[in-house]
Amino acid sequence: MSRPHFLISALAVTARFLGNILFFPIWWYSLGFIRFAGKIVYFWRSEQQALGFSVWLKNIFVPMYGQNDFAGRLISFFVRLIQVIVRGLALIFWLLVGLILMAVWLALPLGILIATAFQLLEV
Amino acid sequence: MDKAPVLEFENNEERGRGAWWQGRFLYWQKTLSRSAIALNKLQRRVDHVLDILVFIGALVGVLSLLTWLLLSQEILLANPLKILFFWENKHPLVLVFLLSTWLDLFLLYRRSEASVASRKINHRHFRGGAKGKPIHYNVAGACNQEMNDVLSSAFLIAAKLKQPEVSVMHFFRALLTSPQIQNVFVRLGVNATALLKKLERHLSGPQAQNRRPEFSEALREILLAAGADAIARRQDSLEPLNALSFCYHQDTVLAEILYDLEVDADKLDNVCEWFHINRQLLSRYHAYRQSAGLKPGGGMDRAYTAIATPTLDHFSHDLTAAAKYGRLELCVGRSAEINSIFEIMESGQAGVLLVGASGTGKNVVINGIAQLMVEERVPKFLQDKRLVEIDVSRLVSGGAASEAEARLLACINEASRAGNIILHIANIENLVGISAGGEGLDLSEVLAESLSRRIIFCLSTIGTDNYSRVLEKTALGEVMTTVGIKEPGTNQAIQMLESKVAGLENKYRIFITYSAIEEAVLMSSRYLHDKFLPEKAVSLLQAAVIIAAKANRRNPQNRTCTKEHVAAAISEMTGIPAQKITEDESHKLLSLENDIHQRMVGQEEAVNAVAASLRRARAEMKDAKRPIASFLFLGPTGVGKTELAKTVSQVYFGDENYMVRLDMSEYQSVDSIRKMIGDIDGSLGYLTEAVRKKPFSLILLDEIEKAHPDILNLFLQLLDDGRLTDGQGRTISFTESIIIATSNIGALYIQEQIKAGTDTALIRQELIDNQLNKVMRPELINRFDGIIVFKPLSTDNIFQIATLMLKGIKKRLAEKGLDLKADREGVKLLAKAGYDPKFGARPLRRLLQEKVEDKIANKILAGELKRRDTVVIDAKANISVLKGREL
Repeated sequence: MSRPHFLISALAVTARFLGNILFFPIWWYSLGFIRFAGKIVYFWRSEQQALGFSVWLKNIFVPMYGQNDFAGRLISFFVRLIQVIVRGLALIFWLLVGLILMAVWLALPLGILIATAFQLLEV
Repeated sequence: MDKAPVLEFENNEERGRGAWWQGRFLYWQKTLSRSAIALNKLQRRVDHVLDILVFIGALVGVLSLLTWLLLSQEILLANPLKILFFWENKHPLVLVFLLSTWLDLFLLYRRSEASVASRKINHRHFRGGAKGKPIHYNVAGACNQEMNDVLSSAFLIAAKLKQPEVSVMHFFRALLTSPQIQNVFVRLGVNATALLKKLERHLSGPQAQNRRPEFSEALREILLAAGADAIARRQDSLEPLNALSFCYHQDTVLAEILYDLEVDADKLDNVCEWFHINRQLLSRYHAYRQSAGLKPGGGMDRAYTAIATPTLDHFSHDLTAAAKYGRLELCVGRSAEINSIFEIMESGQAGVLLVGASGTGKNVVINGIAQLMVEERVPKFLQDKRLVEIDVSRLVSGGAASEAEARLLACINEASRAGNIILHIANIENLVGISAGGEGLDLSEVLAESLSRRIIFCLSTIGTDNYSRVLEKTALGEVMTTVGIKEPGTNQAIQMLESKVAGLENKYRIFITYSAIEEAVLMSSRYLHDKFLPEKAVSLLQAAVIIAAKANRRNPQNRTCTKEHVAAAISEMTGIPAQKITEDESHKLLSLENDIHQRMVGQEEAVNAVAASLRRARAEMKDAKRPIASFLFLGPTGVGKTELAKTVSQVYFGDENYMVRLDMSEYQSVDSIRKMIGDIDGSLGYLTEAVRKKPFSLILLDEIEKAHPDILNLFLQLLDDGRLTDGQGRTISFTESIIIATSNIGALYIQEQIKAGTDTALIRQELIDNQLNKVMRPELINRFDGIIVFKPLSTDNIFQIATLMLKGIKKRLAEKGLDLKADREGVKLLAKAGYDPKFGARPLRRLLQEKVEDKIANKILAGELKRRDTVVIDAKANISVLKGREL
């Protein structure tokens, strides 16, 4: 590579790197956060599917094991109600975990910034 | 993926050459220059270095924190909560960790961006018309890194050679630098050096000075088609593999070069498809494992509304559970059949019957449905359901028919009450005919009744022959809707086989070339007539792989299964010498006449005609739909007609036992057709059964003129189409057989004319015109490849035959440790005594038996002949014994 070519190339590479660094904080609070939140939502949805919450809720008045008599229906309703409550609680737990993780994502750079400043500055 | 997209190109003023496809205008815009390529390369190197540096920085941070934790463990042990507020401790190591966390976040950012950047194609742009989406699509933006490298490389090749355009040839040369494409050619067994050498000659043309080469129009078209292909396959990006086969179709010179290296369009397409199939299988497997986790493995549905089915569970296997745990083989290339099954089910039909010959993959289709049910990629009414296969043998075993009926009813009842069960009954014909007796229903009628009441849903399979024989007219046959599972075509079968190669390669630790796969499909469809694709090709390939693995047991580095191994496997399975024509065999074919004359004396014309026919067949010049060769041998008795047939069997098939001999005098009545081809009651035909078992054989029809005319009509079809339908309705192929018919018609005429010195061509014509046509229809006479007239034997011939026969006696004596010496004059005397112009060489055989063999036998019994003695036939044809040396 000839000398002027090399200089131009070096300049271009450096500019791109600087651009990368400048864009990084903006990315963290925009695109990055959206993608992270998307992953949390996906995780929560697959948890919902694995727990079968919507299936239990939809069938709350449907008798279990084909027991169509009155007693069967009554017992089924209460068993299903308990299932819906327990599974619902589990889902709420995962929802809270997700929300906390999203909050951590948002707070992390600020936290590190404060901690670093604390280390560097004489307080 | 069935067919590559076909684009119609047009020129757009703004975007240049492009094509409309799926509501978008695809075009190609990419500016390349040497400096841009160099900059890009530098950029990637810098990025790589940066990534490594950031990673090291992050690692140093973690190590710093760990060191600090070790150093301050006393304080931390006193107050463990302090660990949460480690950052409040002012320490250089903590500072290093905190600074490194910035690098961690930066690394996360770079990884995330890189992963998004690798997904170049946004498939949402191509779904459902053009609403709100940009109408123009630049395919250049869809290329992945490997493709971009190939494009840069093609540009640099053209620029270096000062070419005005980057041609298809430059691009193809660059493609060969891609590891993906190199793998394709390794699978094809192409010699890379030979290919490069041939390509180099076509890379440069007239040079252009100081110009930056532009992409040629043909190349742009290839790239656009490749882009459409990548989109149609729902890939993340455009890869070199997408472009490969379009290059072949676009550039005729390139096609010729590849053709010289034994690569044609089908081969290239099939290998590319193989790589795509492997990728799809892998991604499907990942998605499958994810969704299989959600499918219940037991008998219950997800909502717990189903009812336990103890009786059904006892008499069945749960296919969805088997699919969930990955125990069923993957189904490839049968989506059309599966979709039509779903359509029938959705239309409210209660039963679907898959009809197809055994080996076409009926059970694989059922497995495919079970897998789709696990993934829940099925119509709504099939979601959250189980596919359960009733084991008919278990259902009927150990009990009377009435008990089997009760069991079946209990199973149907449970399935209907549970509500989440789809039944499957393999080989449903087994249910027909099992009845409790009297006027009761048989099992198939019980099932038919439940199906017609729509209380259950049932899938089932049956072989084509059994369907028409057993089921078609029954109540069950009428209530079920049939779906034909056809035997796949060659390319489809090759692709089905390709999907199984990875498993075979892993199991036997062997590399399978494309040629082996192709040969397995071609050879099995050619030689294994009573089985069907793809199963017969799969079992053939499996046999070939085992042969190859055994052959290379001592050399694990070089374990490759090639088409020669497939040929060896087919040879082992059928006894057919199907190995590629090697040097030795070519030599054997060229010297066929000499080999035949080792056993045959005289009859040069007949031998030459037969040998020429066989050479045509072996070099695969023959019509594939007719027998290898068919001859009508005419001539008096004892002139060598049968002997020539035996010799051909020995020389061509390697053994006299490959000859099926039919004495046509035994087929003089109409009824004898049954004896020959069998009948519907199940008795097997002598001819059809022999050829079905050994398709590669010589069929000798001795004295054909004596057969009943109706039998001769059978041979009309056999000689023309190379097949015959037997009594059971099976088609028996005669395409690998040699048919030889012999006849004594006009024997006297031949003798007289030969004596008078008439040309054999004239004799033959006279025989055809005036003698043969009295017993055979002209169309049958015309269907023989050759009508060969055997001349009566001369005294000289008889002498040679006597010598040959004595050689045979000598060989038999050698086994007893005895020798035979014959004086030439003595042999002449014997030949003269044994010669009878009417009966040819036959009296000679009797004479030798009387005068030589009987006498030797007497001497052996009398103890006059012992080991190492020599039997001498002197000039007067007398037999004496020359004593051997004593030990």
